[in-house]
Amino acid sequence: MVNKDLKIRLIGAGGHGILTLGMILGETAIKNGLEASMTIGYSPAQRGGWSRADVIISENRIDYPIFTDPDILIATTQETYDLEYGNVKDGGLIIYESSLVEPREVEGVRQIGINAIENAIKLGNRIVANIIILGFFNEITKTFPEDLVEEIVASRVKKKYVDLNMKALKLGREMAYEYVGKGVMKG
Amino acid sequence: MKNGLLKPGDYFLRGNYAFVEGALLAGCRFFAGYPITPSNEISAMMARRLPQVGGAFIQFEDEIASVVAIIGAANGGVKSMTATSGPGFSLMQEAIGLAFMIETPIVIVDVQRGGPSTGLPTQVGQGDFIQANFGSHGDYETVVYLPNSPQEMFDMAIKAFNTAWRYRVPVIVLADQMIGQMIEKVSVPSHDEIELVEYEKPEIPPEEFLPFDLRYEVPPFVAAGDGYRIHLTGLAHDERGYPTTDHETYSKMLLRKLRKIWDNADEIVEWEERLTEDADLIVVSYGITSRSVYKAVSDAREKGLKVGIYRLKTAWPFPYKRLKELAMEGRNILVVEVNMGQAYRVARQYISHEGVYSMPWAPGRVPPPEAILKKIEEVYKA
Repeated sequence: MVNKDLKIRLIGAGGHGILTLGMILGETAIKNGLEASMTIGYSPAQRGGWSRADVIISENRIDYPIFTDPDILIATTQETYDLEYGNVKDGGLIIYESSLVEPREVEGVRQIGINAIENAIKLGNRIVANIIILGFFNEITKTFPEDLVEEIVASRVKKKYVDLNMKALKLGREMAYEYVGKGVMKG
Repeated sequence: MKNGLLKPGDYFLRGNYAFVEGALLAGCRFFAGYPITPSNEISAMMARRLPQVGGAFIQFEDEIASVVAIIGAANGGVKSMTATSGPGFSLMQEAIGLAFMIETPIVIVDVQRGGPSTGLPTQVGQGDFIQANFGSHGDYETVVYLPNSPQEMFDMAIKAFNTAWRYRVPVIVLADQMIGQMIEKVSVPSHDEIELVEYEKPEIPPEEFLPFDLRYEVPPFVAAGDGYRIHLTGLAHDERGYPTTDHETYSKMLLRKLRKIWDNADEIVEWEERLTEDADLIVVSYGITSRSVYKAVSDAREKGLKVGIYRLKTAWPFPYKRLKELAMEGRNILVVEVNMGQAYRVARQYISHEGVYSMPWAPGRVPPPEAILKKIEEVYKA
């Protein structure tokens, strides 16, 4: 459900699955008949740094793959949230990892915290925190058909992890239902 | 991936990986290289992929050994390539001259970073534009492609091998850090739609065969072991490949080799034109910069400025004829690139009016569309 360019900036600590999440979004877009581009950035540190994936999803050919003003920001650490929250477009959306991020006041931007890491640990492996975020993101934004997201995620992981990842996607979706159910966001 | 090659379909693929898959589909079965950012994804992926398709990968002690190894492998009849970036590309220059001299088809990808010297290892540059055709000594020619997307990394990998083997020349693909490392849709066509240039053993009996035969534009290629006598040297040589200092012989030989490119330049050159017909100003660019120019020009059009796009897809031969035509019909030219005006200097050679402008830009980042638009507005008034 993309009417124009959708610019998504994903940023977090190395190991948070940021680049994987970007790859999944891009691949899902392509398989959905859309155009997608992704550029990658890293902090200069060799260890303990952050990584960033900038994804554009569009119905049209993407002329310029670089942007500084995302429609949607997904940030999984305080450092990366603080770097980027001020750049989000007016009317945009921020999804942050609530166990690690204390959100700031931002006018004109909707912010949602989700505790993906602890929930991933409860599912059995913290590595699927990014997949919980994906399930949540897609349910909130309705960007892609649900089964297509499942198909792409399943195709990217080893067979023995498919089940875990499907559970993570489902949990993310359920967290979104719960969030929407609170009446904070309707329609 | 039955035969180990990437199946037809749409992929979300990094530019450097797209190049690898294109090269393998083109028949590349040998890679020699030395690691350097930001080209490493090419060698890393080649190390994994080549054994899967029956090829070989060797990491050498440096870039000089690497490029000489692919010259050797190509003379064994195997399509071969290497990948590098600025500092490594500089080290390869002498051997590029050797490949031209002994008419060996090789493919080199230079994923440009900021220079000179060690420069900006992880950041974008386009400063090897001139070097790609003039970095080696003496008179020689290369063919140089300029991809501006992962899709073109794939397409131009195939094209590079075809051109190298058609004309028996070194072919360089001048990518840049952004194009090499960005990820985008890459469509892989059905394999039988991909046209490939393969060498065929000559029909001439071995005793009549001359490896550098002056009667041909491009003499037939024979590989070591095909049963023909060949002699290869970087020294000036005659039709048999033996060293000579005879001026007339060498003049003929050198000119024949240069003419392979000169006389076929119209066939080889490629460019993309958008919105040029009614334009007063044409923006020339290539590689990642052209992606920013697309946006800047569409913004300029929205402001009512008649601006067009001329994107170079080959650096060398430089696609000057059509550009000259557009300029001579009264259009001004603005060249935007991530260097201090290398393609600008070349464009200016071909256009005799004063309306040729440069937007120099230091390496490290891509000029943003807003900066290009500002320059367009400035030049447009002039």
